[in-house]
Amino acid sequence: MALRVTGLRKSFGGVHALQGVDLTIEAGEVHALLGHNGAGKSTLIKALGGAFQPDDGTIEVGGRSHAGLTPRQSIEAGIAIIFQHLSLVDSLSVVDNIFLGQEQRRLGMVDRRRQREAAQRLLDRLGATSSLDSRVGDLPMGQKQLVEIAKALSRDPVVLVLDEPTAALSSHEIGALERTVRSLQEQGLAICYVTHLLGEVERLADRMTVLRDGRVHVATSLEGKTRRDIIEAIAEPPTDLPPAGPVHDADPPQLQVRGLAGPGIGPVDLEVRPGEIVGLYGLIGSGRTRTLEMVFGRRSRRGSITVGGREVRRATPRAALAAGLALVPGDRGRQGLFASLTALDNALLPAQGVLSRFGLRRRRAEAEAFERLATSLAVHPATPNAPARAFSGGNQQKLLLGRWINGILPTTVLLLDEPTQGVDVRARHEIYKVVRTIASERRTAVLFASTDPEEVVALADRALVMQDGRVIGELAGAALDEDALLHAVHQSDSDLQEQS
Amino acid sequence: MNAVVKKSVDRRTFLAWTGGIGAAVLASACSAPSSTKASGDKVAKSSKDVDTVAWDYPFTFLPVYAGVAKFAKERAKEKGVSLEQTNDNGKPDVQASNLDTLIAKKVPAIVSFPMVFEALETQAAKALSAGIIWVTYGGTLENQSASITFSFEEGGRKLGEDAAAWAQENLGGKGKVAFLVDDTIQLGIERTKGMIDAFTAAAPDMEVVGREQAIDPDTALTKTKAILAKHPDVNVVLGITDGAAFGGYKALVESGRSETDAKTYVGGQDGDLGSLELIKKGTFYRASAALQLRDIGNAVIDVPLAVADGKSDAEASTDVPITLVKQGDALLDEIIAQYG
Amino acid sequence: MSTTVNPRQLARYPLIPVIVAMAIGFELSTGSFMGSQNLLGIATDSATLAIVAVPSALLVISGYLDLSVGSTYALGAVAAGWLASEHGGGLLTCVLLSLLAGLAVGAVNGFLCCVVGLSPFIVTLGTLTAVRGLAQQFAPLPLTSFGDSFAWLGGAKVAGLPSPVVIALLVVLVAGAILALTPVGRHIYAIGVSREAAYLSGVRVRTVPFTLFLATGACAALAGAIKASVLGAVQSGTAGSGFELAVLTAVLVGGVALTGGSGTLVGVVLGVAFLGILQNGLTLVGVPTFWQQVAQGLALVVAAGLAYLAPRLEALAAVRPQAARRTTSEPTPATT
Repeated sequence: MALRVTGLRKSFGGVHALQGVDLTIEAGEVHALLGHNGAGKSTLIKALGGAFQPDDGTIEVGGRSHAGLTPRQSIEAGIAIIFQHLSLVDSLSVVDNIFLGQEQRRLGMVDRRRQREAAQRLLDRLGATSSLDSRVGDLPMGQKQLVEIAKALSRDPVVLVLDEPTAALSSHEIGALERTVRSLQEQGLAICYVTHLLGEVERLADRMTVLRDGRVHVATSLEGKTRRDIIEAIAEPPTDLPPAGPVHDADPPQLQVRGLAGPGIGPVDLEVRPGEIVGLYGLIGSGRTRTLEMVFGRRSRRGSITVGGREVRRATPRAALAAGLALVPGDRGRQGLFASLTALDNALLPAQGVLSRFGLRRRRAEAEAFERLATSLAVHPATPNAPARAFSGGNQQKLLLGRWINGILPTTVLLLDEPTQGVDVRARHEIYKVVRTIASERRTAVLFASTDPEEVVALADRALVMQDGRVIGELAGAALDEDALLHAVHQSDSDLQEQS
Repeated sequence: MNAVVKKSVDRRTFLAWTGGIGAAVLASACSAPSSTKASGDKVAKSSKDVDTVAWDYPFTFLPVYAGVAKFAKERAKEKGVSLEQTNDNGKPDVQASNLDTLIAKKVPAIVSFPMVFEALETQAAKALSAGIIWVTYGGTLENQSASITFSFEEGGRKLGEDAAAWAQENLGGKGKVAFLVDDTIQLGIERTKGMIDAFTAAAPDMEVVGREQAIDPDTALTKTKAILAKHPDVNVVLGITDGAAFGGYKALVESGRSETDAKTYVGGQDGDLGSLELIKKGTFYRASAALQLRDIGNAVIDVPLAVADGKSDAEASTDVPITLVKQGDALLDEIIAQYG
Repeated sequence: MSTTVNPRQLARYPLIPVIVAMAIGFELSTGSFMGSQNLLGIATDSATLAIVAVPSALLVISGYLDLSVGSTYALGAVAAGWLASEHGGGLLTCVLLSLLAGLAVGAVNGFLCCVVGLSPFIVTLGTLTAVRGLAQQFAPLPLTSFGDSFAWLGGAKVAGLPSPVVIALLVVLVAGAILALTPVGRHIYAIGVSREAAYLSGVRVRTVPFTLFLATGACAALAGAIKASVLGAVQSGTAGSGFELAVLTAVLVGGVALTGGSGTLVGVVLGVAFLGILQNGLTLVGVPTFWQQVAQGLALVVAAGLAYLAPRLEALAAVRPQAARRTTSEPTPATT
C-alpha cells in the first residue's frame, strides 16, 4: 500500500478538526475523498503536506511511518499535493517552474539541456500541449494545472493528492484531466482525489472515503455501487433550516444594481427584494467577489447602486454602510477579522460609535449587545474579551456576521462572499440558519457569492450564474439544483469554445 | 534620557547618507555657472583667477559655524568671490565624497576642516595636483597650500588655567569640579585634554565629581542635574562648548544657586552670544575661550587668495588666536557687537 | 482588574521589575538616587520625551510611524524662541506659533502617508532632514534672552509639580482617555491590526492616522518649546537631535509593536521612565562616556528580551490562577 493514515487527530483552539481519521490508498488506485465543507478534508490534506504536526496518529508513506511531517519531509516521503490555488510563478517559463528550487546542476551550473529533456518527458506523460518556453501566466487554467502536476511528478512521488482539481476548469479541460488521472493511475501512482462532484467519483474512483465532522463516516469500495448509494453515503442528516421567507414580487427591490461595470466586470444588472436570498454562483475567476466589492464601494465602478430606492453615489465602504449595505468579505483573515482584538471589538467595532454617548463608549451597552448577539448567533465560547484568533473559523465568521446584524446598525442589504469558507459543518448550518432568519424576520436582502453549488442550492431563493464578469443565467425554485448550476457554467463554456 | 540614543554624531550617521547625497547634488547644481568658468585646467595665477572659494565645514550643527559663515560671506562679497558651502552632516565619509565632488568639478580653492586629519591627505594631494588651492582649516596636513589654525588644545588650556586660578583664590583650592566633555571628535578630544590637564595640574586638590559627554545645552542640563543630585555643592563646571556650559549653568540655577554666587564658576568655549551676555551681566558664568569669528571668517577668504597671489605656505598661513574673555574685557563687547 | 499587583500584570509589564531593580541598584551604589530632588529632576527631564512618545505610540499602534519628531522639536523650539527673543512674544503667542509649526509638519507627513499613501518610514525620514534644515536656516545662531512670560512654560510650578511634568500628565491622560473610552480608540487599534478590514468596516482609515500625525507634530513642537523655555536657549542644530530615536526606543521598549495594532500607554510611560532612570543613574554613578553607551545598549537588549518573554510569562501567569476556577469555557489560543 502506498499511503496509510492511522488514527490521525488534530484540534485547533478547542475545535476538533480531525478525530481519529484512517485512510488507506493502494498503488494504482484512485481514491475519492468526499465530505462537505468543514468535514475535515482540507485539514487532512494539510497534515499530509506537513502544514502542521498532528496531535496523534501516524502517516505511513511507501512503508515508512511518520508521527508528523514538515513540508520538506512530506515531499521527500513522496507526497505531492496539487492545491486549488497553484504554487506557480506566473512570470517564469514552464520549464523554469517545473524545476524551481530543484534545478538540475552540472559542475555547479544549471544544466538546461537536461532540464528541458526531463520537462518534455513529464509534459508528454501528462498529455500536456504547452510549450516549454511559454510564460505560465499566459496558459489556460487546465494547462497551468498540468504544469503544477508535472512539477510534482518531477519529484517522483508515491502519492498524488488532487484538491478539487476541476473546480476552475472548463468541461473540455475536465475531460482531459480525467484522462491524465487514469494514465497516472495505470503508471502505478496512488491518487487521492478530493471532490464534491458525483460524476467524477463515478467515472474515476476505485474506492471512496467520506468524512463528516472530522471522522470517517464511510470508507468503501465503489465496485458495484450505484449513484444512489454514493448520494446516500454523502448525504447529511436532514437539516432544520428555517423555511425561506416569502418574497413579494410587489415589493420594490431593496438592492437594485444597474449597469454595474468595472475592469473585467459587467455590465451587471440585478435586484434583490426584501427578505430574498440571492446566490451569485460561478467558478474561480468569474467575477463574483469583484461584483460584491464594487457594489460595496471597495472598488471603483460605473453604473448605479440603489438601496431602498435611494442611489448610493459615492463608491466607498462608508457611503455603502450609511446606505444600509454591509459586506462580510471572503478573505476572512485579511479583510474581515481583527485577529488580535477581542471578540467584542470584532463584533461591535462599527456599532460602538452608535452606542456611544457624548463621544464616550458605553461599556455596559456594548456588553449587553454582545451577549444578545452571542446568543442569537450561538457564538462559542461567548467570552467578549478573548482575542478573535482564539475562535474557530465558524465562530469567527459569526462574529463578522454579527458586526452587521446586531440590531444596532441599519443594515438592510447584506453582502456575503463565500460565507462558509473554512467553517465546520455545525457552524455552517448555524450560519445558514442565521442568514435565513434575518432574511425572513428582518426582511434583510441577502446577496451572497459562492463557488459551492451545494451551498447555493441550500441557501438561495434564486441563483445568478456568473461567468467572465457577467450574469449568464438565472435559476430559481424547482429548477435550482446542483446539476443545473454545473451545467450552466460548463455548458456555456464549451459553447464558447465551439464557437471560437 | 535623550542620550540613550542621543549622540548627535549617531544621529548624523543615521542621516548622513540621504543628506550627503542631497548636499552633493545641491552643491553641484547651485554653482554650475561658476564651475564652468573655472574649469578647463586653468590654474589660478593670481587672486583674480579665483572666483569661488569652497568652504567645507563638517560641523554645521554647531552655533559657531553660523557665526563664522556670516563673516566669511561678508568678506567674500567684499573681495568679489562667491562662497560655496558643503553639508557633511558631521560624517567623515560624506566629507570625503563631497571633497571629491569639489575636486572633480575643479573649484579654484578649497578650505577644508578635516574631521579626521590623516584621512584627508589623499584628497588634499589630489586637489593640489589638479591645480586647486587647498587650505587646511583647524590644523595642518602634509599636502596643503596653506593653513588656518587655532589651537583647540590651547583654548581648553586657557579656560582650565583660569578656572584653576579662580578656585585657588576663592575656594582655597578645595572644592568640587565637573567637566562636560567631548570624546567623539578630534577637536573635542583636544579641547577636553587641554581643559582637564591644565585645571588638574593647577588645582590638584579639587575633587573631580563628574566627567560627562555633552556638547549641547539640552544634554548638559540633564547630566549636570544628575551630578548635582549626588553632589549638590559642585563649585566649578567647565564645558567643552559654550552650549554645554550654558546647560550646566541652567542646572545650577534650577537647583537654587544664586546667579551671582561667589563660590561658583562656570566657563565654556566658543564665545556664543548667550554665554557672553551672561558673562557681561556678572553672573557666575565667568569665562569663555572665544574664537574670533570675524578673524576666522576673513581668513577663510583671505588665505586662499593670498596663495593665488603667489604667497608661500608660511607667508599665507594664519594662526587665529583664541582668547579667554571675562567680565570687563574690551574684547567681550567687541565680540558681542560682532553678533549684532 | 484588581488593584493589587498580581503576577499577571507584572508579566504584562516586564519593565516594572526592571525599573525597580534599577532604582534599588542606583540607590545602593550612590545613596542619592531616591532623593525627591533627583526623582523630580528625572520626571522633568523625561516629560518632554513622554509628551512626544505618547502620540507617537498611538501612531505606531495605528500602523504608522513618525521619525521627523526630532526636527519638529527643533522647529517648535526655534519658532517659540524666535518670537520670544526677537519680538518679545508672550507665553501664549509663543506656544501658538510653535504648535502651528508642529501642525504644519504633521499635516505634510499625514498628507503624504495617509492620503497619498507613501511609506511613512521614507516620508518622515525625509521630513526629519528637511525640517532640521528649515530650523537651522531660520535660526542659524543660538537664540537666548526669552523674557519672563515665556520662561513660565517650562519653569512654573503647578501644585508643586514642574509645569513640563504637568503638561506630560495631561497628554498621557487625554491619550489614555481616547484609547480606553472612545470608539476612536478602538479604531486606532483596528487600523493597526488590519487597515483593509477597518476600511471595510467603515472606519476612517485616512482621517484617524492623519489626525495622529497632526497630534504628534504638535506635541513634538510643544516639547521643543518647553525645553527651550526650561533652558532659556535654543540651538537649532542640536536641539532634539537624536530625539526621534529616543522616542522610538521608549515606544518599542514600552511594548508597542512596530507592526501596529498592539501596545498600551502604561507600557509607553514605563518605557519613558526606563530611559530617564537609566540615563540619570549612569551619570550619578559616574560611568565613563563609552561605557555608558555600552550599558545603555545592553539595557535596551535586556528590555527587548523581557518584552519578548512577556507574552509567554503572561500566558503562564494566566494559566495558574485560572486553572482552579475555570475548566473548558476559556478558549486556548490557537496556534495557527
